[in-house]
Amino acid sequence: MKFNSISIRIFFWLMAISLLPLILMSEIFLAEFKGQIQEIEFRHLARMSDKKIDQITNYIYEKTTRIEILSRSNFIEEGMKQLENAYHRKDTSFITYHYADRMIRGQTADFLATGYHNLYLITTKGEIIYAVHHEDDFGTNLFNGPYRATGLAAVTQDALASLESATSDFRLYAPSKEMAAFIATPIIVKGKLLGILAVQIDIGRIFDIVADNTGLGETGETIIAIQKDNLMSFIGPLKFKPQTGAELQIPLGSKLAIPMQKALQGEIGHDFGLDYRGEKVMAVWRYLPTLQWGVVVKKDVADALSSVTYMHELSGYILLILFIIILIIAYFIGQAIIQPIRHLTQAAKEISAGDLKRRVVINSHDEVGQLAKTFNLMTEELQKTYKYLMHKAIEADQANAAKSDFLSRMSHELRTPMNAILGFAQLLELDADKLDNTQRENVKEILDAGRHLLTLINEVLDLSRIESGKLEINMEETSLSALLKQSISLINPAAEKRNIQILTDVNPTYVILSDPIRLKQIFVNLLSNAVKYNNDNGRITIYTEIREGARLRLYVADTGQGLSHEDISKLFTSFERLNIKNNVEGTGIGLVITKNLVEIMGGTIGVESPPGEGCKFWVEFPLSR
Amino acid sequence: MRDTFKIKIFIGILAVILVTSLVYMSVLNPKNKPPIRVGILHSLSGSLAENEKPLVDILLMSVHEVNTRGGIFGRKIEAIVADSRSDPAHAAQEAERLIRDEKVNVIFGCGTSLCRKAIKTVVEKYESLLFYPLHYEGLEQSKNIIYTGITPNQQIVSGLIWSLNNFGPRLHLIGSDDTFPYISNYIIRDVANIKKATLVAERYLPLRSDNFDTIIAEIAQLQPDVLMNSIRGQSNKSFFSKRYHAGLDHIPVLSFSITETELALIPPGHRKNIYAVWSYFQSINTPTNHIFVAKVKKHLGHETVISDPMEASYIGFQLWIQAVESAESTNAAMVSRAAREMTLNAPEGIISVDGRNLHLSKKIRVGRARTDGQFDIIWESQKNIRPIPYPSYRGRNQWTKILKELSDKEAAHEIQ
Repeated sequence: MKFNSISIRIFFWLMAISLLPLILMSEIFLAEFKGQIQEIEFRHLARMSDKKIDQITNYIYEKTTRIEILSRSNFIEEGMKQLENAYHRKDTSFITYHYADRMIRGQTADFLATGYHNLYLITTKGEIIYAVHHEDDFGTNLFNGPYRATGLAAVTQDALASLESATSDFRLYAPSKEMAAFIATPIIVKGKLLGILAVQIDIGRIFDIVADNTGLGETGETIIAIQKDNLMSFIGPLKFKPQTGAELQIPLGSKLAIPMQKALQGEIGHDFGLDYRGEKVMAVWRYLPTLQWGVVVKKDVADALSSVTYMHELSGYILLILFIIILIIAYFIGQAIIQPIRHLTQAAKEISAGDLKRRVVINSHDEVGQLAKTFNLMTEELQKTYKYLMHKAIEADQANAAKSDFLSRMSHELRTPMNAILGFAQLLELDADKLDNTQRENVKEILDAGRHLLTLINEVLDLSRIESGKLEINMEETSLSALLKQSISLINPAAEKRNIQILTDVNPTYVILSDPIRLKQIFVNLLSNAVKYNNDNGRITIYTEIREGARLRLYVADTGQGLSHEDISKLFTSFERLNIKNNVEGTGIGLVITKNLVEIMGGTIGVESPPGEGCKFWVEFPLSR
Repeated sequence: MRDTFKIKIFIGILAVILVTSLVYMSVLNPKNKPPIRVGILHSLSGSLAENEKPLVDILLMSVHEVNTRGGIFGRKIEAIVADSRSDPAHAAQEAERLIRDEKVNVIFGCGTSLCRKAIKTVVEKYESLLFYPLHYEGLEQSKNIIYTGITPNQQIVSGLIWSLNNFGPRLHLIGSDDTFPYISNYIIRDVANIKKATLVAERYLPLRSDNFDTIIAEIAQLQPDVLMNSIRGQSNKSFFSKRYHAGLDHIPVLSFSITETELALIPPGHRKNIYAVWSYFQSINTPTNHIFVAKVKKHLGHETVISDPMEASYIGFQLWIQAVESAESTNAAMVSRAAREMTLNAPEGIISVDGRNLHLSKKIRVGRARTDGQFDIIWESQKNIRPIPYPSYRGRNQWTKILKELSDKEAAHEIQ
């Protein structure tokens, strides 16, 4: 990972070490918290559902017990007998009937006031022979009459079949024109079954228990449903579906209302699920066996877990604030570390730019302080070394200057007697006719040797000047061909002696920028080498080539022995003379000086020596015109 | 150098993750929780062992099933099996040992009324809880016992009324010399009187006796409409053999003590016109029951037949688990309170616990024996029938008196 700044690195690692674990921990805690809240909510819903089931069950039990007690009372026994007698005489207006009716009416009416809508006496053959409130069912037969499919008929059959009390389901009871439920109990006196005592119970109270949503919050509710074939039929008011009159029915196997489906299978449980709207809810389901109801107590998940959502948001805010704080802290810590380093960097810059007196002032004792101290020491050393080297350089310069002075004085000193020698020899030459042959030869020898020595002295002087950088050149536009002619005329004598041809092919318009005197020196050197190292009767060819970048290359090619690769590499080093032949003269400095001169004038020099073709020396200068 | 740095970081992160998950898991590790101990008290030896062994097997299967699911609240169930040796006094001893020494939270058990009454004293004394799976004569109730078998008002009365609607009013009663037959026949007489049916005879046979000759002769003579049979155990085999050989198997027998287990002992040829009244038959044709039967066969063997008491043992255990989870406690009082009005999707259908008497509301079915050892279900009650251990047409005091009279009579017979 590449960091461009210490600040960023600190920020990254601070985040990784403090914020990341915090996030991790808060996520873990929130998950635990969520689990706990879920459990608490489920438990709460379960308590509510248990309570309601208890209440409804106890209500039914209580109602049942009371009519069981009532069924054993004397007046019921008497009334039953008398009413049955009167009924079988098919004479309901008969006085016996009225008497019996009035006898029990008072007491049964009082009984009704304790929470029942109606009370019936029914024979073992299913005939309703008494009712506190006369409705359409009065006097009919529940086994084969028009109301044989009612809850009252069913409950009567059950009581007769089991000789125990029975409770019916909730159904629309036509004679009362409303939803009704019944409880029936057999009237058994002294081992004889006299008939059935049945009541229609007040179911409003039961719906009140179901609809009581205290403690369930905004979205919580209790819903009940019964199973009708393959459908779940929802009874009672639903919070989120307006009363349309038609009962809400959902088929078993639907994705909706799975808690209710489980409840109707007699299961007890709790889970998340989709309610009848298709919304996510937490639900607790139970089965109410007395009424064969599925009972579900549910609450919207969002509502139930609102505290979890709140905690999540809260932790989000806290983490955001922490993030910003860490950002700021990281910045400041970073700056604290960076500042001294910046000082050091700046100092190093200045030192490398030349200010060796620069020192760094850092007061801390930590690693950076150590670095600063060492840095200063290093700069100190640097300064000392520099002074020393300066001193040595000055000395070297002085020595060089002394040497140059010495050389020029020496050459001067040498030249003066040389000129004398040459002058007097020339005088002798002028009087050649007064000398004999041997004397004339001797004079010639003196002159040759003297000129040679003078050349050498000049060459040495040149070289020393070049090496001490004191060579002066004057650049001007020089006509190439003109200078060549002059150079050629100087070595012509030597060439003619060995019958060497000189061929030139140079465009007279070429002009280059050079010091003509030195350029002549260069040409003379090359040409005299071309002559020296050539074969007798050989040839020297001079021609040009225009190279890339408007540069002119001048070739001086001879037909001599040529040079090997090894030789070429040694060529331009001083004092080595290659291919020494007995009769070849020279100090070996010439090419060195030539090279230096070429380079001082901004050109390049080189040589090619294809085997068997002699040497081809070339010099290259930028073309002026 | 960069690479080694990267490797160090990687190892560091790995170490942190490892440590974190170890800590996390050990905090939530349920292995530290102690098991919940339950007692299973049945006859493993003695005359009743053969009948009661399947009940033990099915209970152990239930325990195994729960433990495979992870137990309750992450605690495994540990079953302690004790032998009542077909003897009430020993049963009471074992019950005491289980509760006091083995520290069980509940006992599933016992197969006869005498054993149950002996254990009843113990569980009431120690405020523990017993689940009793057999049908019985009722006239009992305890806040420390949950009765998962059927009561006379469920079995006898329903069966009798069905019989009166299908066979005829002339009833011939035969039974073993025992409390259950005495009381069930007493109730039959009550109902017969109400329903205007006739008892042509009422005969009792000493337990384990095979001497049916007199009884068979009487049946042949009287030609009743239906025989009401509460003979218990092995004797049924010889009775039905004698019946067959006497050519009397055209007279229907409504048996109250014959399940698939007893039917298996009666040769196929002798099974004609045998009817039984139970809440559970193995042949109940619902998906829930098919799953249950498959489970039992897988666990106990493919030849296993499942009787009403076996299913009652199973649902007793399921109810207990549900009640423990609902009460969030194994304390007997809290469990029994939580069990009130509890419902269960049992193999026989939806059953519920009647909170007033801790018995179960169930559907009642009448089955006719088949030659293959199973029963055809030919009648089923429309709704669940509530358990009424003290039938309402008499007061409870009256019933207690009657019970005492009959017990004395039984004791007198024993002495003889």
